[in-house]
Amino acid sequence: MESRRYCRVDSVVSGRLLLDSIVLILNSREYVSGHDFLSIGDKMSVLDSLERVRVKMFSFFSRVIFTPRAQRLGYWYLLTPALVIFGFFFAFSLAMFLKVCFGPPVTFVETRPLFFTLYYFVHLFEQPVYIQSIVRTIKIAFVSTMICLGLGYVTALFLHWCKSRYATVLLGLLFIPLLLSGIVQVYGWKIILEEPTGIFPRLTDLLGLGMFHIVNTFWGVVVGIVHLHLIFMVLPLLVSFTKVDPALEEAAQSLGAHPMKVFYHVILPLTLPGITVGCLITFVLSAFIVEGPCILGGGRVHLVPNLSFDVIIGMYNWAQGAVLGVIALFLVLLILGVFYVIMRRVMRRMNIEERLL
Amino acid sequence: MRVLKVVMVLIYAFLFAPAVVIIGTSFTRTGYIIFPPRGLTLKWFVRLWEMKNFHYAFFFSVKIALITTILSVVIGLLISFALVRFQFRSKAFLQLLFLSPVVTPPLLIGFALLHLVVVVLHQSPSSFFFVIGHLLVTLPFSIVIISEALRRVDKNLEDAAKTLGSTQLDVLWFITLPSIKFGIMAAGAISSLLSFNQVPISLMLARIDLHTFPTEIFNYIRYASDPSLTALSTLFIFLNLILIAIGGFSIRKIPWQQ
Repeated sequence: MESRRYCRVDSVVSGRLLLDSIVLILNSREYVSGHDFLSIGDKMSVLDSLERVRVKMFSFFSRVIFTPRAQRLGYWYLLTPALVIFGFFFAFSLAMFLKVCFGPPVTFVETRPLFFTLYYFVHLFEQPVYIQSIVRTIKIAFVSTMICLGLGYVTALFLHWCKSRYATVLLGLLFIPLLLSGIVQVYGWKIILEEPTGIFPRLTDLLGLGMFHIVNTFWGVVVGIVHLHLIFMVLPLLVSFTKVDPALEEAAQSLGAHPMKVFYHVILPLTLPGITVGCLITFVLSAFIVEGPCILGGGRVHLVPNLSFDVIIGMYNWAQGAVLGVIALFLVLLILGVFYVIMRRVMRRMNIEERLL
Repeated sequence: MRVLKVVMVLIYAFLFAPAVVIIGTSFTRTGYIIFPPRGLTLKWFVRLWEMKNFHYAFFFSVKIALITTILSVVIGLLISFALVRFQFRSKAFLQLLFLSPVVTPPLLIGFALLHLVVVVLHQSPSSFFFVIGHLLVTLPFSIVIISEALRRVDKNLEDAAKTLGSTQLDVLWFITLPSIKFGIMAAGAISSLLSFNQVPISLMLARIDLHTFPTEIFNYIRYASDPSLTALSTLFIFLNLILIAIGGFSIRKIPWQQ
């Protein structure tokens, strides 16, 4: 820490990039012309006057910008652009979007326009396609969250127990699939799983199981979702693993407990907060991912994201698509709320600190 | 432990399979997509010169990503200064507001924005609204990263400079900003990555003549598929890897709390 502090002070003193480059230019001109362009004293005076100009400018702008009033209420100036973006383009636009859901039907001819109808909600529940898509979305989110939990728990456990110095590298590698373009990777899965030419069906064919038909089905979408969202499960789990006191594990082991028993009675309860947070994040993201159903579903798996996209952009029925999205979001949040309450009660009964991240 | 190691190898193979397959298939000599590639050729990369719509989409995407990155860093800095250095009453609420776009489905954000632009403002979606839509996605991340870096700045150093006669601007320019430069770099890299890979919002705002690079790929995938597309995806992957390297390098330099 001490050395870093000295470094910083040093960089403050020498942080005169402009002046240093001017010295460089002056020296190089001397070098080219072969004789002294300026004497050392002249150079110093040039630099001094430049520095004096900079100091004057900085003190002037400092006085203009950092007035006592600004030091008290400066956060209003700082927050103005953010408030415009988040207030108008986010909160206001979502409010207007909710207004559409309760609007009158587009084909409705009425001299006095209705401002509040439940037409689209009623219509949604009359059409089995929409209900089925909502049910299927929740099912797919649940299934992929469970698979993510299984794979993520193993990964986090490995990274927790791994004492090798490549542990951070392995953790870093987990981020790469997240940060690469989701659409490209889902396309890669389509290439792998596609029937006659893909590597996976050919492999199962070689093993004598016949060609597996996965692409354009429910399970194809699950593969894509699990692949994109595994990291969101691993990270909270890893955070909760670091909070487990290693002394507890050792104590249980030295008292003669079987490793499986140590895991079940010590590690698993202590990582419940991580499991909760990971499941919350993964469930929301999985229910509303666009790339998975649009590309791996191939138009055969109707989930809320791709169905509402098709209804809005394809059928141009804005309100119906909006209602579909809003109802699905509401149901997902309801499920997550119930899940969170149950998990909190469980953790409280076990006397586990329920701080989420 | 040995079983765990085997499972881990399988999980990492699972994670990197699509990227490897995409890169592999882009060198195939056949006219259809196959992995492992049959023969090696670069003709699919050469073919990309002829696909003009992807050129326009690429430069449009780069433009949007650049503007978004700059704005995201600047506005993120302003917000972080307000949230870290000032005490005011509505702070908790504002923090919630600034982080809420992360949990809102981007498809809904995109549609709400499209509705706002077309119905409320009577405009057609232009690059300005693309930037706004991408900012809503990138800003939460840059706020979190920059304010975390700003909290770690040594207060004593600033006070020392002030007692030695520096003006406020001197302190800001020579001490505070250099101290958080890695936070700024990381925020910029992550913002540009998120903006460059953003699909749902761009898909909603897309016009017939205004497509970003990923949405152009998206549309192409839905209707056709040949190795020139995997060649394109390969280039996209390498571009992303450069940004990831910059972001990873700078994130590791932030003195995170241990």
